[in-house]
Order: sequence, then structure tokens, then C-alpha cells
Amino acid sequence: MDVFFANAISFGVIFLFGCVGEILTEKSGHLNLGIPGIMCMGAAGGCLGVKLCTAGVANPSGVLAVIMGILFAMIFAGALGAVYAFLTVSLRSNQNVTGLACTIFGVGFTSFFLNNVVLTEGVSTALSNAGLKFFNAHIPGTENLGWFGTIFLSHGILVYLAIIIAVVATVVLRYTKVGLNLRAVGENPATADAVGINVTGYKYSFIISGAAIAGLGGLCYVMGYMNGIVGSTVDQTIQGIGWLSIALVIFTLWKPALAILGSIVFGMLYILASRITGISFEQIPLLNMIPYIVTILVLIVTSIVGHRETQPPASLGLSYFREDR
Amino acid sequence: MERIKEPFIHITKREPMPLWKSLCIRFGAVLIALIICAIFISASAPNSKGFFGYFGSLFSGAFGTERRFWLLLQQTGLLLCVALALVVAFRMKFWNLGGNGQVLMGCLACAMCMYYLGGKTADPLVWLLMLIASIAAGAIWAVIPAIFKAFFNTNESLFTLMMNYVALYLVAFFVSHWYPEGTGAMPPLTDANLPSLGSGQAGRSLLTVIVAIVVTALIYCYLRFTKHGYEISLIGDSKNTARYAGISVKKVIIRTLILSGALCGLVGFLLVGSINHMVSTSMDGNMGFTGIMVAWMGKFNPLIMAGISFFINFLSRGMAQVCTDFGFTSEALSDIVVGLIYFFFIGCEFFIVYKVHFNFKKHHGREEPAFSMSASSEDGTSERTGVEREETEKSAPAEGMEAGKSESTKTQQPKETEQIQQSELEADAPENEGAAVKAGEDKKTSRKKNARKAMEEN
Amino acid sequence: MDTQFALELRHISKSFGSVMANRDINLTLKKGEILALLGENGSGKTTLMNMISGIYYPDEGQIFVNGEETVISSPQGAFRHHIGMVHQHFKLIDVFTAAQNIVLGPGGNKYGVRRINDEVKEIAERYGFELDPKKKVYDMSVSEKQTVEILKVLYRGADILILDEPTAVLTPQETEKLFTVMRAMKADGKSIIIITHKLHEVMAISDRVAVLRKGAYIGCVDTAQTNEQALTEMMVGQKVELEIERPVTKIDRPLLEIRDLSVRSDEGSIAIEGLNFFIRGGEILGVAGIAGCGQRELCEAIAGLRKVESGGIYHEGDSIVGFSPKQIAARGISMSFIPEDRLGMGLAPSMSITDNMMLKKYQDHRYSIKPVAAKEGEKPFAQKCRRAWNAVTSFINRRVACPFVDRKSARAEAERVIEELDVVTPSTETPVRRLSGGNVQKVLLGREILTEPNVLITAYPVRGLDINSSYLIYDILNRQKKAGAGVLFIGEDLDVMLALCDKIMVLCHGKLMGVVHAEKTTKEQLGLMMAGALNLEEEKGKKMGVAKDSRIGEEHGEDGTWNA
Repeated sequence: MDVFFANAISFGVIFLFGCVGEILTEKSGHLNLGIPGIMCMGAAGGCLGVKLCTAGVANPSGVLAVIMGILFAMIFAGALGAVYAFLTVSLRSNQNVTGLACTIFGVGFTSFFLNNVVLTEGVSTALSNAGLKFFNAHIPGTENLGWFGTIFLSHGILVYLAIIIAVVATVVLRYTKVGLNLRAVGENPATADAVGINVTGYKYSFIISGAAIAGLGGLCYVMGYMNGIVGSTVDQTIQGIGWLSIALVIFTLWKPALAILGSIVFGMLYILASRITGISFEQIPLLNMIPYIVTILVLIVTSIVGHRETQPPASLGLSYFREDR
Repeated sequence: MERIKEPFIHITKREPMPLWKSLCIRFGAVLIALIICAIFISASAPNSKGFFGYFGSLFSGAFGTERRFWLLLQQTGLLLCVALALVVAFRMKFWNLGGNGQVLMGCLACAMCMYYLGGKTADPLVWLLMLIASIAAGAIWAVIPAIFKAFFNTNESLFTLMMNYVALYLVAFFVSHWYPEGTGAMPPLTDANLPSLGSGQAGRSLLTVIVAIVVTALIYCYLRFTKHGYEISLIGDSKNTARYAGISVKKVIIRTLILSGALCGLVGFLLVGSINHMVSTSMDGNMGFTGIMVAWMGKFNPLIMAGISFFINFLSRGMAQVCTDFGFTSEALSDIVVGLIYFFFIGCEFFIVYKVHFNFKKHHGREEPAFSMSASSEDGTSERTGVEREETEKSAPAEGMEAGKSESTKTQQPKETEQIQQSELEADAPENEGAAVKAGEDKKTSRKKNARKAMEEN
Repeated sequence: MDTQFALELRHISKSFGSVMANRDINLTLKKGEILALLGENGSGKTTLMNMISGIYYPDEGQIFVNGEETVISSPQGAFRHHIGMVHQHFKLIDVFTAAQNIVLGPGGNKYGVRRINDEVKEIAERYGFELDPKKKVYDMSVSEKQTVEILKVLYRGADILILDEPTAVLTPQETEKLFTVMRAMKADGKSIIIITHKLHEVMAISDRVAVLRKGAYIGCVDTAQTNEQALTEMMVGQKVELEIERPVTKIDRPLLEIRDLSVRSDEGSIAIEGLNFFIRGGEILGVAGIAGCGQRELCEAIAGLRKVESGGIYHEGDSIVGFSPKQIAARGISMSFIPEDRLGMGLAPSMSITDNMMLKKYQDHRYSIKPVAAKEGEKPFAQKCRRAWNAVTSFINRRVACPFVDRKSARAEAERVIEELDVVTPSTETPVRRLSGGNVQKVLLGREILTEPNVLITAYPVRGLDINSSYLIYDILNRQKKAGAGVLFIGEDLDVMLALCDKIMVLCHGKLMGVVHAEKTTKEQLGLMMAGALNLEEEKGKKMGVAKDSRIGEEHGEDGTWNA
């Protein structure tokens, strides 16, 4: 049971990265349906980063590998995020269409990039070594702390990073002027513009940083959860996780702090099927369906109840052209 | 009277441009994307056959044999049907992102009929039931979000997106329910297959192609000539005007989404009944999403959409061949190429809708006509200078960020824009466009360079 | 350097296209005074203030702030000069608290919920506002929202405040509170410009009054040395004779009767209160009133687009309250509504003229297969066939619903409208959005007239139109009047209304101030009524707007008024 919870947490943080990234993006008024593709880009970039400083290196440095992984994941994901931002903010393209194009591109790119560029000879061993030894290195001695150690202290660095990012995002959104201005941009860009907030600047910064954070989710899946084992369907799996991350945003009512809990719940639901003993093979898909159905229910309930605090940012999905007002 | 500093770039909505001009821009954008891909791939492939070899492979993959050609037509037909299904909803500004799920439900319902009734009842009866069940299943899957949208204004794009996965796992459930011992894959069913309309691939694909042609014609007429089509466009244009005209918006939303889902269900019927004779979770082939791109790129016009879906399928089938010929181990290359074309296509739309005025006050003194001209053409809205400036300043570095290298764009732009300056500003469209597209091209090339550098480092 | 003035405008001009919104305006605002800016609708008050607050930029002229020439290029620029404007339409974020809305903006990175609440409370108390900083905007009343807007400006350190018709949305009690606060601000050394139409408020609050008329500066007087009568004269000017004909027609019994109507606005406040009036066939009834005093809500209520709070709307004696536009049409009631926001409500902007022509009757299209005419020397069998065919087609024509729209006749109608009303357009297939304002209006009006309505409701039908188009519109309305239709004309130019309308009813704050005959009234009287200074109903002590020969309850006594 302890192991189950530990696994739920280490899987859930993948959602958490994607979800926090998408929350930041949506708070700026942009529904980024490119998150699945962006998370894939993160995985591709992360693998490249880790490869550069481990493959063929006699005595690879763990710290460097982790830093390079994180850095490259953020750069790759941020780059696709920047394309999305440029198209939707500056060129005012439709957000849904642009987001889907990002997903199609990102997933394809990752599949291609991993197979043709990253996974040259001997790299998979290097990656899985790095995954196991560096990304999943945890504080020694936690095995002796019983269930507490197993559930909370047995994780690699990315798990804690995700939670730190979620907490920081909560603080920024709720307790800083930047967060207040950002929310104003997402709610009503014309008002924000009128009081002198740099709407375009806010949108760019938060779409790109949101994408970079979401990219860490992809890295987390490959190097953290999968221990650096890059399977052939990794892009498809991450895509599915990506859509769930977007769903999680609704589930957690645009609150990063709630997203920590929500992602662990989703993590549980996601791995439930493979962990419960005594269920038949055919019931697994029904269990897999639960997160999506729950999300739909939350969506319906929030729209019927219509409480102002649980609604998406008011200008979500609309592009802002000053002269239209 | 001293005037305030004008922003460097001023963006206004332009008068609608003639069709041929906008088509030229779009073709140009796609062509640029294609050439970029060709150069990139032919330069970096492990087993390259050169720039022209790339196009050779592309065409041979799509048209090389009769079978390939018929497969291309079949895929085009399927994609077109899905795109048409989505377009009726999009015209109403209802974001149906659930094409995948609706197709899958159609597939599932069809497979159910085949599994449970195949061989037990007369085939024609089963075929009829398959058709009805598929259409009904697709329609139900689409109408659920529609009802909630109509009555509670629930966000339809997220709702339909989630419905995709519910459908996917339903399919997975039934497959493993029917074949509990299997690997999760379903063997083709032998009973109640729809008959082949001829020999070879042509016969197998013909039904799909015919259905696609009929559906295209019907949807074209439906949207253009019927009262329903009129109501749909009216709601898409202005909900208030629709209410003023006495239209029940709720009713139209629900009715339209039934149609949209039914068409997706029909595609499911074709996929299972006529083509695959089995169902799997990836049977939708992501057509729900690709269909959105097709609808968008085709400007919601069924006839243009037919061309676009042909082109997209041509690319993806051709790219598969390129991957084999050029020695890539992954076939995902086609997704990259298609994705890149989407980006260019989406981006070029901006230059069709908006007009970019460059301001050269610093270089040309005060009596600069560019800005004042645009000011007089708009009803005096040109005074918002301060923040506009911020906007342009902001977007420039961001572009740079995207490209990785902003120098190329920065040094290039003044030159090009100076040319515009000299050429008549009133008729700025073509020149301006050229510059804009070129600027975009620069950006993309530098991005590409970046990517290539990353690869070389490797 | 003369620093007596907080703000000084010299020779400010601004035009939009060919329309001169402001012409050579000079205005001074002394430090620590309240200046009222008075003028009719469209006299250029808001344009002028927008130039001070950085939304527009003047074509000509100079602005001096504290004696220094200044360029104000954006709202931020205005704030740098400590100028803040409170717009008529609030720009607030609903899900934020009052305090969050107030501190919003770049700079000032110290932020804490408690801290900003205290700060806001402190400012509010200094000027005597009553405001809970933690209250969310969506829970607020209109006056509270206004308080937030004013505090927003004060928080950012404005010394010069511009209030654009702040009292338009307030009750008298709330207005009184606002004035108290304004006096407190004045005592604190702030200079205030208040835009208003209401003379008694001008008299109550201002130190000086500046008057604009038709974009020009008329003059500036000390409030203490003037009176309402003199101000009205300055505001409306001399009566201008316009060559608009007013044909004499035989008037009918009341077509449309409104009884005790109350309607709420979008914000939930009462927009129309206990209104009574009626329109006869063959007359044009003008509705005068300052902008936003319930005209839009009234029109929408009559057209069936807005919920009626209480009261009745009767068309030829039949109640149409609670009917949708479709139901109203289905009852065979021909009533047309020309909305104020033409592209937002009356027309579909992206669709062609042809498509817009069939907006209201696309549903009526039926099959019309022509019967085959008998031929001479027809064989009996052929005759049977022909008869059977004709029977089938006539059945189809009568019974079968036609799924198609009839673009052919719509196109013919479009051509007719284009020709008759001189619509300038490349073709009938041009999207309406691309036409100029006057042509858009002609298309809309043309479509409505083709349905031969007997009640025509027009809201600001000449707004944004040039002189020639305007006269054409008056002409069209007169033709309808001659044809026996009752026309409700909501207008803003009193000269036009005096020349065109038979009767004019004046609204103030959604209440009826009186109905007068256009020939027997003066512009001053109307001005006073619009400003709420004269209420004929109270003055004459009789209920106005109820027809003696009412048709309510005549044949269709639904509300028990059969014998009434």
C-alpha cells in the first residue's frame, strides 16, 4: 500500500507539471491545447540534455546530468510555447487551432527526434543509468523510516521540484502584484491595458514559462517515472497524459495548490488499473476512464452552479486586439 | 504642433483583400514550408537522395502505384467527412474537438452490430443496423456536450475533448471484453463485411470515396441553400441578431451537433464496416484533430476543404515513403512536416486580416505619410500610441526567443521595409505581404538552423 | 508662469473623419475647484475629456497641466500628470475584490491582501467613501462600482479628476453622497471636472460651468451668477429651422399602448419605471432624453427581447408582454424594431445584403411550383396527368415544408432596397460589415419597411449618418407615417425632433416627464424636462400618456378590463 501511494505521487507529479504550466497559461487568457505536444518536446529535450553529458562520458556527473536534462527540457518546451505565443498573441490566430497544431507537431517531432537523433548506439543504457542513478536518487536512509519514508521521501528530485513549482505558482498568483496583474490580463485584457499593464508582455512571459514548466512533465515521465527507459510509444503516452493535465486544470479550478492534491488523485486513478489485484483484464479500461468522467462532471457542475470563483478566466480563448474595443 | 512619438509598427484591420491575393499568400506560405522541409530533410537524412529525390519520393509515396493512389483517395474521403462534420459546428462557433471520440463511437457501434449480429441475420439487414447504430452513436456522443452548452453554457471544447477519451476507453473495454485472452487487439471480423465494389484496393476504397463525394455535396448545399444552414451562419455571426430574428439558439445548437456527430459516426461505419472489419483504440487516426485543421485551413468551405484534405493526406502518405527512402527509422517525420505547414498557414492568416504599417519617422522626418494615412482610414483610432509601442517592443524579443537568433530578423527587417517605403504605400498589400512573409521565412529558417545545429552537435 | 490653473486647454480641435467633434476649444480648470461641463448629447464633451485622459490625441491645440505644456499620449501618460478619468462604462474585473481592482497596475510590488485592504480603507475614509475593500465587484451595486472607479483614480495619485456622467446611474440619495465626497476631495485640493446633463446637479455641486454645443465652446460662467434658465439657453442655443417636412395625416386610434411599464437594465437597476404612452397610426412620436435613460431598454422590451418587469404592452389592444419576437410575428402583428446597435443586433455583419434581407422571413419560404396550364386539344389522358400533377404540386406548395432558403427573391428585394434608397455597395453579395454607416442603416431600414409594419420603432436612426442620408431617413419615416404606420423615433437632436415629430415624449431616468405637441413646445422646455427640472405630469397634475380612446380590453379583455 505504501508503495502504491508512493507510485501515485511519483506519477501524479507528471500531471502536476503539465497542470501548473497550463494554469499559468490559462490565467493569461490563453487555452493552450498544445500542452501534450509541449510535454513531449520536454521529454525529447530532456533526453538530449541527459545524453549530452552522460553518453560516452567515462564518469558522468549526476548533478550536471539533472541540470542539463531540466534545462534542455525547458528550452525545447519553451520554444514550442514561444511559437504558440507568437501565433496567438502577436498574430492573433485562433487558440484552439494553433494549440492543436502544436500538439501534432510536438508529438511528431518527439517521436522522430528520439528515434533518429537521441537514441543512437549505447544511449539507452546511458539514459536508463542516468534515470535510475541521478533522477531517482533519494535521500539515503529513508527506507528505514517506514511508511512515511516510502511515501514522502523515496522520490527523485523532480517530484520535489514539481511541488515546489506548484507552491511558488500559488504564491505568485495569490500573493503578488504580478499574479494579480496576470489574472487581470486573463480576465479582461482591455481593463488591464487601461491601467497600464503590459498585456502582450504578460501573455508572452506566462505562456512561455507555462510551457517550460509543462515540458518538465515530459522529462519527469521519461527520466523519473520510467527510469530513463525510452519506449517506442513514449510520445503517445505523454500525449494522453497531456490531455489529462488539461483536464486537471478544470478539476482543480485553476488553483495550483489544489493541483497538488488533484494530481496525486489522478496519479492514483491512472495507476490504479495496474495495481489493483483481482480485477479482470477487461475492467482496466473502465478504471482508466474515471479521471475523464470526473473531469466532465466537474465541468458540468461548475457551469451549472456558476459560482464566479470557479469559472475559467473570462477572456480565455479570445485574442485581444486593442482597436477592437 | 509637435506630434508624439509614433509606434514603429502599427497594426490595423485591413479591407478584405481579393480572393486570389489571399490564395497567393496561403500558397506562398505552404510552398515556403515545403521547401524548408525539403532542404532540411535532404541535407540531414542518413541516406539522402537529394533535394529533388525528396520530391520524387513524396510523389511516389502518394501516387506511385494504383493501390497507393486509391488509399490516398480513401484517406482523403474519410478525413474530409470528419472535417465536414466538424465544420457544421464550427460555422456556429461551437468548438467540437470531439471528432476522434465521435468517430470511435461510430466504429464501436458498428463493430458491435457486426460482432453480435454478423452471420446470424441476413447481411443487408445487419448492414442497415450497422449504419443506423453508427450514426446514432456518433450523434449521441456529440449531442451530450451540445445539450450542456445550450442550457448551461458549459465549455464545449474541453467537454468534447474529454469525451474523446471516454470513447477510447469504451472501445478498449469492449475489445478486451470480446477477446479477453488476446493482446488487446481485435482480429478482423469475417461476417457482415460490406461488399467490395470492385477488384483490388479500388473496390475496397470506392464506397468511401463515393460517400465522401455525396456528403461533400450535401453539406455544401445544406450550409449554403437551406434554412438550417442559414440559421447556423446567423448564430455564428451574431447570436443577438439570431435572437432578434426569433431563432431559438438552443434548438439550433442541439440540432446541428446531432448532425455533426452523425457524420462522424458515418465515418466510423465506413472504417469498420468497409475498411478494417475490426475496431481498435487508434482507429480514429487522429482525424478529429486533423479535421479541425482541414476545416480551418479550408475557411469552412467544403470545396476548399476537399482540396486541403487531399493535400494533407498526400503529404502524410508521401512523407512515409520519404522516411523509408531516406533511411529514417521513424515515420513521425510526416507529423513534423504537416505541423510546420500548419504553423505557416495559421501564421499567414494574420497578414490577410491585418495590415502592418511600419513607421520610419526617425529616418524620414516628420511629414511621414505612412502613419497619418492609416490614421485617416481608421476612424481616428490611431492615437493609442504608447502601449502599441510596448507591444511591438515586446513581440520582437519574443520572436527572437523563438528563433534563438534575433539578429537575422532585426538586421533584415529595416532593409525590406525601406523598400516598401519607396514603393507606393497606398497599395501596400503585395509588397507588405512579401516583406511579412519574408520576415516570417527568415525567422523560420533561423529556427531551423538552430535545430540543425542542435543535431550537428550531436 | 501662471500656475493658477490645474489644467488649461487652448484651441483644441479634433475631428473624426469629416465630423468635427471639437472645434477650437479653450477651457480652464482652477486648482481645487469643481467645474461642470454641460452640453447636449453629441456636443463633444466626452471627446474632449478623452483627449485630456490620453485616449484620443488632439488634432490641434495645446494642453497645459499646472502651467506647463504637456503631451498626453496614453492613459498612462495622463496618470503621469496626475490626471484620472472615471468613465461612464466601468472598467473593472468582476472576480476581484474592490481593493484588488484599485491597486491593479504596474509598479508598486509590495502586495499583500491585508496591506492593500488597509491602504484602500484609509483612502476611502479620508474622503468619506463607504466601501468594503474585501467585497467582490460582482456583488456590488452600481454606485459601489463607481466608488471603486473613483478610488482607483485617487489611489494612483490623481490631482485632476474627470467624472463622465457619474450621476447617470445613481439614485438621488447616492448622488447626494457622491457630492459630499466630491466636496471632500475639493477640500483636499483636488480639481474636478464633472460631465452632466442635469442642471440642478450643476447648480448644486459646481463652482463654474463650461458649456459646449455641437463641438464648440460656448462659454464659462460662475455657478453662483447663473440660473437653470440661462444655462439651458446656452446649452441648446437658438432654435434652428430645418427643412424637414411634417406631413399632416389622418390619425388613427392607438396602435401601440404602453401601460405602467417597468423594465430592468442589464446591470439589474430599474431602467424604465412606470411608463405610460401610446402611438397612433399616422404619427411620429419622438422620444427625447439624455443618453442611457432607458431608451434602449424600452425598445427591447417592446420588441420582445427584454423581460418586462411589470406593466403592459398592447398592440391594437392585444397584450404582447412575454412574447418572443417570433411569437409576436406569428400573431400577425407587424412591428419592426430598428435597434441602436445595428451591426450587433439588427444585422449579421459578415453576411451579405441579400442574406440580411431574408433575416426575418427566411422561414416563410414555401414551395411555389407553378401549375401546368391547360392546353387546347388536350387528350383526356394528358389532361388527367396534368390534373394529377397540379394536385400534387398544389399539395406540396401548401403542405410540405420547404428546407431551402429563397435567395432569389431576397436578392430582388436587396436590389430594390439598393435602388430605392441609394445604397452604395459593390453588389448585393457584399457583407454588410463593409458598408459605411449610412448604407448599413439604409439596408436595415429598407428591410424593415419592406415588411410593411404598422408600428416602426427606430432608435437613433440617423446616428453616425451624414446630412443627406439623414434627410433620406426622415423621408422614409414620413412615408411610413403617411402609409398609416405609427413611428417611435428615439432621437438626440432636438431641432430634428421638433421638426419631424408630431408629439415628443420626454424621458428622464426612465420616467416620463411629459408628452408635448412638437408645434406647441420649445427647445428650452424640452431641455428642462430632459434635465429633470420640469415634470409636466406633476405640474399639470394629470396622468399623461394614457389614450382616451384606448383599445386595451376592447375585444380581448384578458386582464378583466373588458368593461373598463
